[in-house]
Amino acid sequence: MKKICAALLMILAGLGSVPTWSQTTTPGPSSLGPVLDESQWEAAVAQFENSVLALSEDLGESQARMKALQADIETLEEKISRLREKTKNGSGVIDDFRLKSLLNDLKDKLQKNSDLQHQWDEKQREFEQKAISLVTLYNERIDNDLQSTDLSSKAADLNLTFNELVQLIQKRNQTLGLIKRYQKKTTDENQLPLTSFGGVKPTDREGLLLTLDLIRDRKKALEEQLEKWSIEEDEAKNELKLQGKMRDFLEDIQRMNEDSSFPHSSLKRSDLGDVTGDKERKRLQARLDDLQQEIGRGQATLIQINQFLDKVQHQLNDLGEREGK
Amino acid sequence: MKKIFLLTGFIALLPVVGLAQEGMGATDLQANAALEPIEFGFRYDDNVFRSVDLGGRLSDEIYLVSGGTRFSSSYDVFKAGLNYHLGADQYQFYSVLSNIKNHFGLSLEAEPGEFGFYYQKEYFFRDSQYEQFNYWDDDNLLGIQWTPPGPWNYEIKGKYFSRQYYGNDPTILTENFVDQGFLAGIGREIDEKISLKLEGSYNNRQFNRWAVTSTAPVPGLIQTDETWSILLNAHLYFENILQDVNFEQQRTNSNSYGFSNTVQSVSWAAVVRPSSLIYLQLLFRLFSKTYDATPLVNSDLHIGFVDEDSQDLLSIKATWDWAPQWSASLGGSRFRNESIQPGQYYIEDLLTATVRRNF
Repeated sequence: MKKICAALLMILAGLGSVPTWSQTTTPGPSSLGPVLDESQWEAAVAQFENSVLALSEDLGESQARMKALQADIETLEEKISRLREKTKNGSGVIDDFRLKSLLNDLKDKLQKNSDLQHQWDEKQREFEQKAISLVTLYNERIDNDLQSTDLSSKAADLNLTFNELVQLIQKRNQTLGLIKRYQKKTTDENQLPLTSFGGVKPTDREGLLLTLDLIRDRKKALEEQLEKWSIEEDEAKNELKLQGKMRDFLEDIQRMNEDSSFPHSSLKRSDLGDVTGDKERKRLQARLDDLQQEIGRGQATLIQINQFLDKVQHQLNDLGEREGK
Repeated sequence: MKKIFLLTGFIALLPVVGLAQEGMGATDLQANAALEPIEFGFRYDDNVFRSVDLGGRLSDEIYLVSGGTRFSSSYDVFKAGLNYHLGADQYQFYSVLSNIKNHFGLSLEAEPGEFGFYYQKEYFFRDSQYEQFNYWDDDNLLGIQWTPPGPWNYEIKGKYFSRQYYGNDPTILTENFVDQGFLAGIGREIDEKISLKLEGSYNNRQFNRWAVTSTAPVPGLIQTDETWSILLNAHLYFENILQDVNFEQQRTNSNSYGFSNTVQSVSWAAVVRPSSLIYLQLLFRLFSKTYDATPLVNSDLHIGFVDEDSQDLLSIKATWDWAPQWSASLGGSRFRNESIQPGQYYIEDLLTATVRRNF
């Protein structure tokens, strides 16, 4: 009996450690509606448990894929920078071809990485909502069980209640563990605007290191984005250039036809000279202008980030020196 | 008289270039004049007289040069353009074929919002001792384009085109013709990489000759060919290769015996850039032409005017942009064309090497 009471006390103490956000940010399903009966509760919990399990497995797989993709991206970036270094003083046809092929691969992988990241974000949001709801369901059940347990009832009944409570707490802790494991990082698309870093004035080492990490993550993301824009810019320029060459070529054919005394021109002009071709050229030009603006803005931001990095690093060094004294 | 007219036109454009170089243009009125690229080079042609007989093929080497000027101006939604292009071919052995090509163009455009209205007029004069190369074309196009927001765009245009030969030989004069036609097209951008276009057109061609029955001409009845065409064009950009694919079906009904026919053709053009300074351009076209009845074998009765739809073609060209304004090209083409002799085809091979200076 003492054992049971001690266990109940531990459970009560454990309830206190339930994060407050689980009770405030996302209300549990049962707290919104009428109280669930036993079968409804079991069905709801089973449904949430299945969803949370499936989503957590998906998230795990996606994370592994993203990790592998990131490794590929890093390898490609390394190869590209080596090749660029090699061809700095002039490049041959084969090097050009290889560089283009590597840049295309990199672009594809960056795109894939971005797609995966978006998918991961969506799944993570769904997972977090469901997991928090599940935790709330567990908590409410634990609360109900504790309130409704009659400590003077038979030891066998108390044992049953105790086992159920232990199981619920284990499940709850497992779910909390999963939430923590797949918690959204702060370096995703909802990252803080750059100006917000200016307001960060941590005075302790831990705070400064955290700020440094945040800025480094942001820098890396921006560099990747700049690389992607740069590839897209090259591609738009290339397509515009190819369109010009196609037009020249079709004009050559037209001139060749003149030498067979074909009509100099007819309704069937160069396909690139008509409305579709014009629209395509305008679209490409507009896309190129947009990209060049984005790159300009991105580079300015990168300079600011580097300045922030230096500033924080400087503060960190100062702090180290003060602590050393 | 023709030469005086050409010279006057050419001289008339020269001051425009001079003005532009001094920087003409007002706050609202934009004006610009420039030189068109100058191209010079060499061409080898293995069948200059387009002989259908393999044993009768005569080859020649031809020096070629071309260049021109263009003037364009815009005010608010209005645009105007004027251009002149001169080309000359100098044949080494068969100088009778040497010729000078003069091309004058005028364009007027207005683009209020989503709509674009335009009129284009072109004169093409070709001067040569060889009768087949001695003619002038008058080309007029009037069109409307509508490009609303979104992936669709629309176009309609009308055409008036005429060709007149300068020779006095009645045989060559029967090849004079006048085209009147219209075209309606609809285009759609599927995504950034693919766009499609569907065009339907009608053309009415009147020759400078009487229609014939299977036995004799019909005086008073001008030969008129009516052609309906449908064309599907796909424009693709994948893996750094720009491609243009065309499928076309044509039906020609003629009031003259032996001229009605059906044509199917497919063509594919692509440009690829294997290195930053080198481009490869390729084009092939295949066609099939079926006459409703066997054309008459009579030297005075031509099969009709042949054009690019009656041509199998394979062409490849490599261009090297070796300096910002300069490029060199090497090209080879083989085509199999319908001859003006009924049921006969000729094959011609061309090798071309040119240097181009852009401005």
